[in-house]
Amino acid sequence: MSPKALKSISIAATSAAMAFSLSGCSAGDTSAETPARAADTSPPDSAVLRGQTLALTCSGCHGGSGDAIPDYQDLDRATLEARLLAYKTDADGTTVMHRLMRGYDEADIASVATYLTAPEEG
Amino acid sequence: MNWSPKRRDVLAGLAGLAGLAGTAALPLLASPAIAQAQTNIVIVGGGFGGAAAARFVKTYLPNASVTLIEPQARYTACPFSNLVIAGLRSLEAQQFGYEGLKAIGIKVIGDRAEDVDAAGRTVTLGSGDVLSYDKLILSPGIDIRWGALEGYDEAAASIMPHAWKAGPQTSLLRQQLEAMPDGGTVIMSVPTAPYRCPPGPYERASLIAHYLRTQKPASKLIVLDAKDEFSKQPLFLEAWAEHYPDHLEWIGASDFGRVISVDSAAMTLSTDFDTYKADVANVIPPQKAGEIAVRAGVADQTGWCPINPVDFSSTLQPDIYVIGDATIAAPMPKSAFSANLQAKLCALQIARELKGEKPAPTILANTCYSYVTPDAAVSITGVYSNDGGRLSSVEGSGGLSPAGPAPGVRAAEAAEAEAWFEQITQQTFG
Repeated sequence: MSPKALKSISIAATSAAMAFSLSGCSAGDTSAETPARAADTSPPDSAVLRGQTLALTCSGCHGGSGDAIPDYQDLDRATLEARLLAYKTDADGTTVMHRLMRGYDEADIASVATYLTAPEEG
Repeated sequence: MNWSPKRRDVLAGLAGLAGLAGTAALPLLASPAIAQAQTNIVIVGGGFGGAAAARFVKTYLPNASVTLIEPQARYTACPFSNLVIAGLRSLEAQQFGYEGLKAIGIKVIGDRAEDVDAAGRTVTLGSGDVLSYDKLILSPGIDIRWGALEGYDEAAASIMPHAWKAGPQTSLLRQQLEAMPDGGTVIMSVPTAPYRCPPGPYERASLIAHYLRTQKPASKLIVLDAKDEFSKQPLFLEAWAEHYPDHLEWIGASDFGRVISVDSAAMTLSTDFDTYKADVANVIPPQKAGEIAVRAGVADQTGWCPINPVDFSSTLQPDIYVIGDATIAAPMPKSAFSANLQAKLCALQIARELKGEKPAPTILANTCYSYVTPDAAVSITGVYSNDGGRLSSVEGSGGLSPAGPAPGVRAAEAAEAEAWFEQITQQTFG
Protein backbone atom coordinates (compact mmCIF):
# COMPACT_ATOMS: atom_id res chain seq x y z
CA MET A 1 0.00 0.00 0.00
CA SER A 2 1.30 3.45 -0.86
CA PRO A 3 2.33 5.90 1.87
CA LYS A 4 -0.60 8.05 0.87
CA ALA A 5 -3.02 5.19 1.33
CA LEU A 6 -1.49 4.44 4.67
CA LYS A 7 -2.01 8.02 5.71
CA SER A 8 -5.69 7.43 5.99
CA ILE A 9 -5.33 4.30 8.04
CA SER A 10 -2.54 5.13 10.44
CA ILE A 11 -4.75 5.41 13.50
CA ALA A 12 -2.72 3.16 15.72
CA ALA A 13 0.54 4.78 14.76
CA THR A 14 -0.71 8.29 15.32
CA SER A 15 -2.45 7.69 18.61
CA ALA A 16 0.46 5.62 19.86
CA ALA A 17 2.90 8.38 18.97
CA MET A 18 0.66 10.79 20.80
CA ALA A 19 0.54 8.61 23.87
CA PHE A 20 4.31 8.21 23.76
CA SER A 21 4.98 11.92 23.59
CA LEU A 22 2.55 12.55 26.42
CA SER A 23 4.22 10.04 28.68
CA GLY A 24 7.56 11.51 27.66
CA CYS A 25 6.41 14.92 28.83
CA SER A 26 5.36 13.64 32.20
CA ALA A 27 8.47 11.82 33.38
CA GLY A 28 7.92 10.37 36.81
CA ASP A 29 4.16 10.44 36.45
CA THR A 30 2.95 6.95 35.64
CA SER A 31 -0.70 7.89 35.45
CA ALA A 32 -0.42 8.33 31.71
CA GLU A 33 0.12 4.59 31.37
CA THR A 34 -2.83 3.40 33.39
CA PRO A 35 -5.64 1.68 31.57
CA ALA A 36 -8.02 4.45 32.55
CA ARG A 37 -5.79 7.00 30.87
CA ALA A 38 -5.66 4.96 27.65
CA ALA A 39 -9.42 4.59 27.46
CA ASP A 40 -9.97 8.23 28.26
CA THR A 41 -10.69 10.71 25.51
CA SER A 42 -8.60 13.50 27.00
CA PRO A 43 -8.28 16.59 24.79
CA PRO A 44 -5.05 15.87 22.88
CA ASP A 45 -6.08 12.29 22.10
CA SER A 46 -9.62 13.13 21.18
CA ALA A 47 -8.46 15.83 18.76
CA VAL A 48 -6.22 13.31 17.01
CA LEU A 49 -9.00 10.75 16.96
CA ARG A 50 -11.40 13.36 15.62
CA GLY A 51 -9.04 14.28 12.81
CA GLN A 52 -8.45 10.67 12.03
CA THR A 53 -12.10 9.66 11.81
CA LEU A 54 -12.93 12.72 9.70
CA ALA A 55 -10.04 11.94 7.36
CA LEU A 56 -11.68 8.62 6.50
CA THR A 57 -14.31 10.65 4.66
CA CYS A 58 -11.69 12.72 2.80
CA SER A 59 -9.93 9.63 1.50
CA GLY A 60 -13.09 8.52 -0.29
CA CYS A 61 -12.17 11.05 -2.98
CA HIS A 62 -8.72 12.49 -2.24
CA GLY A 63 -5.39 10.77 -2.51
CA GLY A 64 -5.41 9.59 -6.08
CA SER A 65 -3.51 10.99 -8.99
CA GLY A 66 -4.87 13.62 -11.31
CA ASP A 67 -5.72 17.29 -11.10
CA ALA A 68 -9.50 17.17 -10.87
CA ILE A 69 -9.48 16.30 -7.17
CA PRO A 70 -6.39 17.76 -5.51
CA ASP A 71 -4.31 15.90 -2.99
CA TYR A 72 -3.57 17.51 0.36
CA GLN A 73 -0.32 15.73 0.99
CA ASP A 74 2.00 18.57 0.13
CA LEU A 75 0.08 21.31 1.95
CA ASP A 76 1.05 22.63 5.37
CA ARG A 77 -1.47 22.65 8.18
CA ALA A 78 -2.22 26.37 8.13
CA THR A 79 -2.80 26.42 4.37
CA LEU A 80 -5.11 23.42 4.42
CA GLU A 81 -7.07 24.74 7.40
CA ALA A 82 -7.48 28.15 5.75
CA ARG A 83 -8.70 26.55 2.51
CA LEU A 84 -11.23 24.36 4.28
CA LEU A 85 -12.51 27.31 6.34
CA ALA A 86 -12.81 29.39 3.19
CA TYR A 87 -15.06 26.70 1.68
CA LYS A 88 -17.18 26.72 4.83
CA THR A 89 -17.61 30.49 5.02
CA ASP A 90 -18.00 31.36 1.31
CA ALA A 91 -21.78 31.71 1.16
CA ASP A 92 -21.81 31.81 -2.65
CA GLY A 93 -19.68 28.71 -3.15
CA THR A 94 -21.31 25.80 -4.95
CA THR A 95 -18.61 23.15 -5.32
CA VAL A 96 -18.74 19.77 -3.62
CA MET A 97 -16.22 21.03 -1.04
CA HIS A 98 -18.28 24.13 -0.22
CA ARG A 99 -21.35 21.99 0.35
CA LEU A 100 -19.46 19.50 2.48
CA MET A 101 -17.50 21.91 4.65
CA ARG A 102 -20.70 23.64 5.79
CA GLY A 103 -21.42 20.45 7.74
CA TYR A 104 -18.33 20.72 9.95
CA ASP A 105 -17.44 23.16 12.71
CA GLU A 106 -14.16 25.03 13.09
CA ALA A 107 -12.77 22.51 15.58
CA ASP A 108 -13.48 19.65 13.17
CA ILE A 109 -11.71 21.51 10.39
CA ALA A 110 -8.71 22.25 12.60
CA SER A 111 -8.52 18.59 13.68
CA VAL A 112 -8.65 17.17 10.20
CA ALA A 113 -6.18 19.72 8.82
CA THR A 114 -3.74 18.86 11.60
CA TYR A 115 -4.20 15.14 11.06
CA LEU A 116 -3.84 15.23 7.30
CA THR A 117 -0.68 17.34 7.35
CA ALA A 118 1.04 15.56 10.24
CA PRO A 119 4.33 13.93 9.23
CA GLU A 120 3.98 10.37 7.95
CA GLU A 121 4.60 7.67 10.53
CA GLY A 122 6.77 4.67 9.88
CA MET B 1 -10.59 -4.66 29.97
CA ASN B 2 -8.63 -1.70 28.74
CA TRP B 3 -5.62 -1.33 26.58
CA SER B 4 -2.59 0.19 28.22
CA PRO B 5 -0.09 1.87 25.89
CA LYS B 6 3.11 0.50 27.33
CA ARG B 7 6.22 2.22 26.15
CA ARG B 8 7.77 -1.08 25.02
CA ASP B 9 4.80 -1.63 22.75
CA VAL B 10 5.41 1.71 21.12
CA LEU B 11 9.10 0.96 20.75
CA ALA B 12 8.36 -2.53 19.47
CA GLY B 13 6.87 -1.08 16.35
CA LEU B 14 4.03 1.26 15.73
CA ALA B 15 2.56 -0.78 12.94
CA GLY B 16 2.21 -3.86 15.09
CA LEU B 17 0.64 -2.08 18.00
CA ALA B 18 -2.96 -2.34 16.98
CA GLY B 19 -2.67 -6.08 16.59
CA LEU B 20 -0.88 -6.57 19.89
CA ALA B 21 -3.41 -4.46 21.63
CA GLY B 22 -6.28 -6.25 19.97
CA THR B 23 -5.04 -9.63 21.12
CA ALA B 24 -4.16 -8.37 24.57
CA ALA B 25 -7.63 -7.01 25.03
CA LEU B 26 -9.24 -10.43 24.76
CA PRO B 27 -10.42 -11.58 28.16
CA LEU B 28 -9.14 -15.11 27.52
CA LEU B 29 -5.51 -13.98 27.64
CA ALA B 30 -5.10 -15.61 31.05
CA SER B 31 -5.11 -19.04 29.42
CA PRO B 32 -1.74 -19.62 27.71
CA ALA B 33 -3.20 -22.04 25.20
CA ILE B 34 -5.97 -19.73 24.14
CA ALA B 35 -3.70 -16.69 24.12
CA GLN B 36 -2.29 -18.08 20.89
CA ALA B 37 -5.69 -17.86 19.21
CA GLN B 38 -6.19 -15.08 16.74
CA THR B 39 -9.17 -12.80 16.61
CA ASN B 40 -11.27 -13.95 13.66
CA ILE B 41 -12.94 -11.29 11.61
CA VAL B 42 -15.08 -12.58 8.73
CA ILE B 43 -16.48 -10.31 6.03
CA VAL B 44 -19.20 -11.37 3.60
CA GLY B 45 -19.36 -9.54 0.27
CA GLY B 46 -16.52 -8.14 -1.81
CA GLY B 47 -17.90 -4.83 -3.05
CA PHE B 48 -17.18 -1.25 -2.05
CA GLY B 49 -18.25 -2.05 1.52
CA GLY B 50 -16.85 -5.53 2.12
CA ALA B 51 -13.51 -5.17 0.34
CA ALA B 52 -12.82 -1.86 2.10
CA ALA B 53 -13.84 -3.36 5.44
CA ALA B 54 -11.43 -6.28 4.96
CA ARG B 55 -8.64 -3.93 4.01
CA PHE B 56 -9.10 -1.56 6.94
CA VAL B 57 -9.70 -4.26 9.55
CA LYS B 58 -6.45 -5.89 8.46
CA THR B 59 -4.65 -2.57 8.69
CA TYR B 60 -6.01 -1.67 12.11
CA LEU B 61 -5.59 -5.21 13.46
CA PRO B 62 -2.64 -6.70 11.56
CA ASN B 63 -2.49 -9.75 13.82
CA ALA B 64 -6.14 -10.63 13.37
CA SER B 65 -7.25 -13.32 10.95
CA VAL B 66 -9.29 -11.53 8.29
CA THR B 67 -11.36 -13.58 5.84
CA LEU B 68 -13.38 -12.21 2.93
CA ILE B 69 -16.11 -14.43 1.46
CA GLU B 70 -17.08 -13.51 -2.09
CA PRO B 71 -18.20 -15.96 -4.78
CA GLN B 72 -17.03 -13.94 -7.77
CA ALA B 73 -13.35 -13.82 -8.69
CA ARG B 74 -13.71 -10.27 -9.92
CA TYR B 75 -16.04 -7.55 -8.71
CA THR B 76 -17.95 -5.52 -11.31
CA ALA B 77 -18.56 -1.99 -10.06
CA CYS B 78 -21.96 -0.35 -10.48
CA PRO B 79 -20.74 3.28 -10.46
CA PHE B 80 -19.84 4.20 -14.05
CA SER B 81 -21.65 1.11 -15.42
CA ASN B 82 -24.25 3.40 -17.02
CA LEU B 83 -21.43 4.53 -19.31
CA VAL B 84 -21.02 0.89 -20.35
CA ILE B 85 -24.72 0.66 -21.19
CA ALA B 86 -24.38 3.77 -23.37
CA GLY B 87 -21.37 2.30 -25.18
CA LEU B 88 -18.92 4.79 -23.71
CA ARG B 89 -16.87 2.46 -21.54
CA SER B 90 -15.83 -1.18 -21.46
CA LEU B 91 -17.15 -3.57 -18.83
CA GLU B 92 -13.55 -4.58 -18.13
CA ALA B 93 -12.86 -1.06 -16.84
CA GLN B 94 -15.47 -1.80 -14.18
CA GLN B 95 -13.84 -4.98 -12.91
CA PHE B 96 -11.54 -5.40 -9.93
CA GLY B 97 -9.85 -8.48 -8.49
CA TYR B 98 -8.82 -9.30 -4.96
CA GLU B 99 -5.06 -9.67 -5.47
CA GLY B 100 -4.47 -6.45 -3.54
CA LEU B 101 -6.34 -7.79 -0.54
CA LYS B 102 -4.55 -11.15 -0.66
CA ALA B 103 -1.22 -9.32 -0.80
CA ILE B 104 -1.78 -7.77 2.62
CA GLY B 105 -2.66 -11.09 4.23
CA ILE B 106 -6.42 -11.25 3.84
CA LYS B 107 -7.82 -14.71 3.16
CA VAL B 108 -10.21 -14.52 0.21
CA ILE B 109 -12.60 -17.46 -0.13
CA GLY B 110 -14.33 -17.75 -3.52
CA ASP B 111 -17.60 -19.15 -2.28
CA ARG B 112 -21.06 -18.08 -1.20
CA ALA B 113 -22.00 -17.55 2.43
CA GLU B 114 -25.09 -19.76 2.69
CA ASP B 115 -26.00 -19.34 6.33
CA VAL B 116 -25.05 -17.60 9.54
CA ASP B 117 -25.55 -18.94 13.06
CA ALA B 118 -25.51 -15.76 15.11
CA ALA B 119 -25.67 -17.60 18.45
CA GLY B 120 -22.86 -19.99 17.55
CA ARG B 121 -20.93 -17.29 15.64
CA THR B 122 -20.38 -19.37 12.53
CA VAL B 123 -20.80 -18.88 8.78
CA THR B 124 -21.62 -21.87 6.57
CA LEU B 125 -20.28 -21.73 3.03
CA GLY B 126 -21.70 -23.20 -0.16
CA SER B 127 -19.04 -25.91 0.07
CA GLY B 128 -20.42 -26.95 3.46
CA ASP B 129 -17.36 -25.60 5.28
CA VAL B 130 -18.07 -23.76 8.52
CA LEU B 131 -16.08 -20.71 9.61
CA SER B 132 -16.04 -19.35 13.17
CA TYR B 133 -15.92 -15.64 13.80
CA ASP B 134 -15.46 -13.22 16.66
CA LYS B 135 -16.87 -10.39 14.56
CA LEU B 136 -18.84 -10.74 11.33
CA ILE B 137 -19.25 -7.87 8.87
CA LEU B 138 -22.00 -8.34 6.28
CA SER B 139 -21.83 -6.24 3.15
CA PRO B 140 -24.26 -8.21 0.98
CA GLY B 141 -25.54 -5.41 -1.23
CA ILE B 142 -28.99 -5.85 -2.68
CA ASP B 143 -31.12 -8.67 -3.95
CA ILE B 144 -34.11 -8.29 -6.25
CA ARG B 145 -37.56 -8.82 -4.77
CA TRP B 146 -38.58 -11.28 -7.46
CA GLY B 147 -42.31 -11.24 -8.04
CA ALA B 148 -42.88 -7.97 -6.15
CA LEU B 149 -43.57 -6.44 -9.55
CA GLU B 150 -46.11 -8.70 -11.22
CA GLY B 151 -44.54 -10.67 -14.05
CA TYR B 152 -40.95 -9.84 -13.14
CA ASP B 153 -39.07 -12.98 -12.18
CA GLU B 154 -35.60 -14.28 -12.97
CA ALA B 155 -36.70 -15.55 -16.38
CA ALA B 156 -38.19 -12.15 -17.24
CA ALA B 157 -34.91 -10.48 -16.26
CA SER B 158 -33.15 -12.34 -19.06
CA ILE B 159 -35.50 -10.60 -21.52
CA MET B 160 -36.09 -7.31 -19.70
CA PRO B 161 -32.78 -6.76 -17.89
CA HIS B 162 -32.61 -4.83 -14.64
CA ALA B 163 -28.87 -4.20 -14.93
CA TRP B 164 -29.00 -3.10 -11.29
CA LYS B 165 -26.20 -5.48 -10.36
CA ALA B 166 -23.34 -4.75 -12.71
CA GLY B 167 -22.04 -7.65 -14.82
CA PRO B 168 -23.83 -9.86 -17.36
CA GLN B 169 -27.04 -7.84 -16.93
CA THR B 170 -25.14 -4.68 -17.88
CA SER B 171 -23.82 -6.33 -21.03
CA LEU B 172 -27.26 -7.70 -21.90
CA LEU B 173 -28.88 -4.28 -21.77
CA ARG B 174 -26.04 -2.82 -23.83
CA GLN B 175 -26.43 -5.56 -26.47
CA GLN B 176 -30.18 -5.03 -26.67
CA LEU B 177 -29.73 -1.30 -27.24
CA GLU B 178 -27.16 -1.97 -29.94
CA ALA B 179 -29.40 -4.52 -31.65
CA MET B 180 -32.48 -2.30 -31.59
CA PRO B 181 -33.31 -0.80 -35.01
CA ASP B 182 -33.53 2.97 -35.23
CA GLY B 183 -37.07 4.14 -34.54
CA GLY B 184 -37.43 1.84 -31.54
CA THR B 185 -38.84 2.56 -28.12
CA VAL B 186 -36.81 1.96 -24.97
CA ILE B 187 -38.78 1.84 -21.73
CA MET B 188 -37.31 2.08 -18.24
CA SER B 189 -39.31 1.33 -15.11
CA VAL B 190 -38.17 2.93 -11.83
CA PRO B 191 -39.36 1.82 -8.37
CA THR B 192 -40.15 3.76 -5.21
CA ALA B 193 -37.40 4.32 -2.64
CA PRO B 194 -35.46 2.79 -1.06
CA TYR B 195 -33.29 1.25 -3.73
CA ARG B 196 -29.58 1.14 -4.58
CA CYS B 197 -28.19 4.42 -5.97
CA PRO B 198 -31.09 6.91 -5.83
CA PRO B 199 -29.95 9.02 -8.83
CA GLY B 200 -28.79 5.97 -10.83
CA PRO B 201 -31.92 5.52 -12.97
CA TYR B 202 -31.78 9.15 -14.08
CA GLU B 203 -28.10 9.05 -14.95
CA ARG B 204 -28.85 5.92 -16.96
CA ALA B 205 -31.78 7.62 -18.68
CA SER B 206 -29.53 10.54 -19.59
CA LEU B 207 -26.83 8.35 -21.09
CA ILE B 208 -29.25 6.08 -22.96
CA ALA B 209 -30.89 9.23 -24.38
CA HIS B 210 -27.45 10.43 -25.43
CA TYR B 211 -26.88 7.13 -27.24
CA LEU B 212 -30.24 7.33 -29.00
CA ARG B 213 -29.78 10.97 -30.00
CA THR B 214 -26.33 10.37 -31.47
CA GLN B 215 -26.73 6.82 -32.87
CA LYS B 216 -30.43 6.13 -33.36
CA PRO B 217 -32.08 9.54 -33.63
CA ALA B 218 -35.54 8.27 -34.60
CA SER B 219 -35.71 6.32 -31.32
CA LYS B 220 -36.99 7.36 -27.92
CA LEU B 221 -36.66 6.52 -24.23
CA ILE B 222 -39.72 6.63 -21.96
CA VAL B 223 -39.07 6.54 -18.20
CA LEU B 224 -42.02 5.23 -16.21
CA ASP B 225 -41.52 6.25 -12.59
CA ALA B 226 -43.30 5.15 -9.41
CA LYS B 227 -42.34 8.50 -7.86
CA ASP B 228 -43.00 12.16 -8.51
CA GLU B 229 -39.75 13.32 -6.94
CA PHE B 230 -36.26 11.96 -7.33
CA SER B 231 -32.63 12.64 -6.52
CA LYS B 232 -31.04 15.62 -8.33
CA GLN B 233 -34.38 16.16 -10.07
CA PRO B 234 -34.02 19.85 -11.05
CA LEU B 235 -30.56 19.20 -12.48
CA PHE B 236 -31.67 16.19 -14.50
CA LEU B 237 -34.77 17.97 -15.79
CA GLU B 238 -32.63 20.93 -16.83
CA ALA B 239 -30.18 18.66 -18.68
CA TRP B 240 -32.95 16.66 -20.35
CA ALA B 241 -34.65 19.81 -21.62
CA GLU B 242 -31.37 21.06 -23.01
CA HIS B 243 -29.95 17.86 -24.48
CA TYR B 244 -32.71 15.31 -25.02
CA PRO B 245 -36.03 17.10 -25.67
CA ASP B 246 -36.89 14.68 -28.49
CA HIS B 247 -35.37 11.53 -27.03
CA LEU B 248 -36.39 11.28 -23.37
CA GLU B 249 -39.84 11.43 -21.84
CA TRP B 250 -40.21 11.07 -18.06
CA ILE B 251 -43.63 10.14 -16.67
CA GLY B 252 -44.03 10.45 -12.90
CA ALA B 253 -46.47 8.73 -10.55
CA SER B 254 -49.04 11.55 -10.76
CA ASP B 255 -49.21 11.04 -14.51
CA PHE B 256 -49.68 7.31 -14.00
CA GLY B 257 -46.03 6.41 -14.53
CA ARG B 258 -46.00 3.66 -11.91
CA VAL B 259 -45.58 0.27 -13.55
CA ILE B 260 -47.79 -2.37 -11.91
CA SER B 261 -47.01 -5.37 -14.11
CA VAL B 262 -44.79 -6.50 -16.94
CA ASP B 263 -45.17 -9.19 -19.58
CA SER B 264 -41.79 -10.27 -20.88
CA ALA B 265 -43.29 -12.46 -23.64
CA ALA B 266 -45.29 -9.56 -25.05
CA MET B 267 -42.58 -7.00 -24.16
CA THR B 268 -45.15 -4.81 -22.46
CA LEU B 269 -45.21 -2.79 -19.23
CA SER B 270 -48.53 -1.78 -17.73
CA THR B 271 -49.50 1.13 -15.52
CA ASP B 272 -52.94 1.79 -14.04
CA PHE B 273 -54.10 3.33 -17.32
CA ASP B 274 -51.81 2.31 -20.16
CA THR B 275 -49.85 -0.57 -21.58
CA TYR B 276 -46.56 0.36 -23.19
CA LYS B 277 -44.91 -1.80 -25.83
CA ALA B 278 -41.11 -1.78 -25.66
CA ASP B 279 -38.39 -2.75 -28.09
CA VAL B 280 -35.96 -2.69 -25.17
CA ALA B 281 -37.20 -2.76 -21.57
CA ASN B 282 -35.03 -1.94 -18.58
CA VAL B 283 -36.97 -2.87 -15.46
CA ILE B 284 -35.39 -1.56 -12.27
CA PRO B 285 -37.33 -3.67 -9.77
CA PRO B 286 -38.05 -3.36 -6.03
CA GLN B 287 -35.09 -4.47 -3.93
CA LYS B 288 -34.08 -5.71 -0.47
CA ALA B 289 -30.90 -6.48 1.44
CA GLY B 290 -28.83 -9.36 0.07
CA GLU B 291 -30.28 -12.75 1.02
CA ILE B 292 -27.62 -13.64 3.61
CA ALA B 293 -28.91 -10.76 5.76
CA VAL B 294 -32.20 -12.59 6.17
CA ARG B 295 -30.45 -15.87 6.97
CA ALA B 296 -28.35 -14.09 9.60
CA GLY B 297 -31.43 -12.53 11.17
CA VAL B 298 -30.21 -8.96 10.70
CA ALA B 299 -32.94 -7.82 8.26
CA ASP B 300 -36.24 -6.55 9.64
CA GLN B 301 -39.74 -6.66 8.14
CA THR B 302 -38.77 -3.98 5.60
CA GLY B 303 -36.21 -6.33 4.07
CA TRP B 304 -33.35 -3.98 5.06
CA CYS B 305 -31.00 -4.03 8.06
CA PRO B 306 -31.31 -1.74 11.07
CA ILE B 307 -27.92 -0.68 12.44
CA ASN B 308 -26.36 1.50 15.08
CA PRO B 309 -24.79 4.22 12.90
CA VAL B 310 -21.87 4.75 15.28
CA ASP B 311 -20.26 1.37 14.59
CA PHE B 312 -22.71 -0.25 12.13
CA SER B 313 -23.47 -3.08 14.51
CA SER B 314 -26.75 -4.84 13.84
CA THR B 315 -29.48 -3.86 16.29
CA LEU B 316 -30.87 -7.39 15.93
CA GLN B 317 -27.88 -9.71 16.44
CA PRO B 318 -24.70 -9.52 18.54
CA ASP B 319 -21.23 -9.41 16.96
CA ILE B 320 -22.65 -8.86 13.47
CA TYR B 321 -22.17 -5.58 11.63
CA VAL B 322 -23.92 -4.55 8.40
CA ILE B 323 -22.62 -1.93 5.98
CA GLY B 324 -23.51 -0.61 2.54
CA ASP B 325 -26.69 -0.82 0.50
CA ALA B 326 -28.24 -3.45 2.81
CA THR B 327 -28.49 -1.06 5.74
CA ILE B 328 -31.23 1.29 6.88
CA ALA B 329 -29.08 4.42 7.00
CA ALA B 330 -31.30 7.12 5.49
CA PRO B 331 -30.74 9.98 4.92
CA MET B 332 -27.35 8.52 3.99
CA PRO B 333 -28.01 7.05 0.52
CA LYS B 334 -27.25 3.58 -0.75
CA SER B 335 -24.08 4.52 -2.64
CA ALA B 336 -20.55 3.24 -3.15
CA PHE B 337 -19.19 6.23 -1.27
CA SER B 338 -21.48 5.49 1.69
CA ALA B 339 -20.55 1.80 1.71
CA ASN B 340 -16.82 2.57 1.59
CA LEU B 341 -17.02 5.12 4.42
CA GLN B 342 -19.26 2.90 6.54
CA ALA B 343 -16.72 0.09 6.05
CA LYS B 344 -13.83 2.24 7.25
CA LEU B 345 -15.69 3.51 10.30
CA CYS B 346 -16.96 0.03 11.14
CA ALA B 347 -13.40 -1.33 10.96
CA LEU B 348 -12.11 1.47 13.17
CA GLN B 349 -14.80 0.93 15.80
CA ILE B 350 -14.28 -2.85 15.84
CA ALA B 351 -10.56 -2.30 16.38
CA ARG B 352 -11.29 0.14 19.20
CA GLU B 353 -13.73 -2.25 20.83
CA LEU B 354 -11.22 -5.08 20.73
CA LYS B 355 -8.73 -2.75 22.41
CA GLY B 356 -11.25 -1.95 25.12
CA GLU B 357 -11.79 1.57 23.86
CA LYS B 358 -15.04 3.45 23.50
CA PRO B 359 -16.38 4.02 19.99
CA ALA B 360 -15.00 7.18 18.39
CA PRO B 361 -17.60 9.89 17.80
CA THR B 362 -18.15 10.24 14.07
CA ILE B 363 -19.66 12.43 11.39
CA LEU B 364 -20.55 10.78 8.09
CA ALA B 365 -20.81 12.17 4.61
CA ASN B 366 -21.60 11.22 1.04
CA THR B 367 -20.81 12.49 -2.42
CA CYS B 368 -22.37 11.09 -5.60
CA TYR B 369 -21.72 12.25 -9.13
CA SER B 370 -24.06 11.52 -12.03
CA TYR B 371 -23.33 12.05 -15.69
CA VAL B 372 -25.97 13.98 -17.64
CA THR B 373 -23.96 13.79 -20.88
CA PRO B 374 -20.65 11.99 -21.50
CA ASP B 375 -18.81 15.23 -20.66
CA ALA B 376 -21.01 16.77 -18.00
CA ALA B 377 -21.89 15.65 -14.49
CA VAL B 378 -23.88 16.87 -11.51
CA SER B 379 -23.41 15.99 -7.86
CA ILE B 380 -25.21 15.64 -4.56
CA THR B 381 -23.49 15.79 -1.19
CA GLY B 382 -24.58 15.27 2.38
CA VAL B 383 -23.07 15.46 5.86
CA TYR B 384 -24.70 13.36 8.57
CA SER B 385 -24.56 13.37 12.35
CA ASN B 386 -25.46 10.24 14.28
CA ASP B 387 -26.40 11.63 17.66
CA GLY B 388 -28.77 9.44 19.60
CA GLY B 389 -28.26 6.47 17.29
CA ARG B 390 -29.97 8.09 14.31
CA LEU B 391 -28.43 9.54 11.20
CA SER B 392 -29.61 13.03 10.28
CA SER B 393 -28.44 15.62 7.79
CA VAL B 394 -26.41 18.45 9.29
CA GLU B 395 -28.41 21.62 8.78
CA GLY B 396 -27.06 24.02 6.19
CA SER B 397 -24.74 21.43 4.64
CA GLY B 398 -24.85 19.32 1.53
CA GLY B 399 -27.09 19.72 -1.47
CA LEU B 400 -26.88 19.81 -5.23
CA SER B 401 -24.65 21.31 -7.89
CA PRO B 402 -25.91 24.73 -8.97
CA ALA B 403 -28.68 24.98 -11.56
CA GLY B 404 -27.87 27.00 -14.68
CA PRO B 405 -24.16 26.99 -13.88
CA ALA B 406 -21.29 29.01 -15.27
CA PRO B 407 -19.53 27.45 -18.25
CA GLY B 408 -17.23 24.64 -17.24
CA VAL B 409 -18.94 23.66 -13.98
CA ARG B 410 -20.56 20.49 -15.36
CA ALA B 411 -17.35 19.50 -17.17
CA ALA B 412 -15.34 20.05 -13.98
CA GLU B 413 -17.67 17.74 -12.07
CA ALA B 414 -17.35 15.13 -14.81
CA ALA B 415 -13.57 15.24 -14.31
CA GLU B 416 -14.07 15.00 -10.54
CA ALA B 417 -16.29 11.97 -11.04
CA GLU B 418 -13.54 10.21 -12.94
CA ALA B 419 -10.93 11.07 -10.30
CA TRP B 420 -13.30 9.90 -7.57
CA PHE B 421 -13.83 6.51 -9.28
CA GLU B 422 -10.09 6.03 -9.58
CA GLN B 423 -9.45 6.88 -5.94
CA ILE B 424 -12.26 4.89 -4.37
CA THR B 425 -11.55 1.75 -6.39
CA GLN B 426 -7.84 2.06 -5.60
CA GLN B 427 -8.55 2.48 -1.90
CA THR B 428 -11.07 -0.36 -1.82
CA PHE B 429 -9.40 -3.00 -3.97
CA GLY B 430 -5.75 -1.86 -3.90
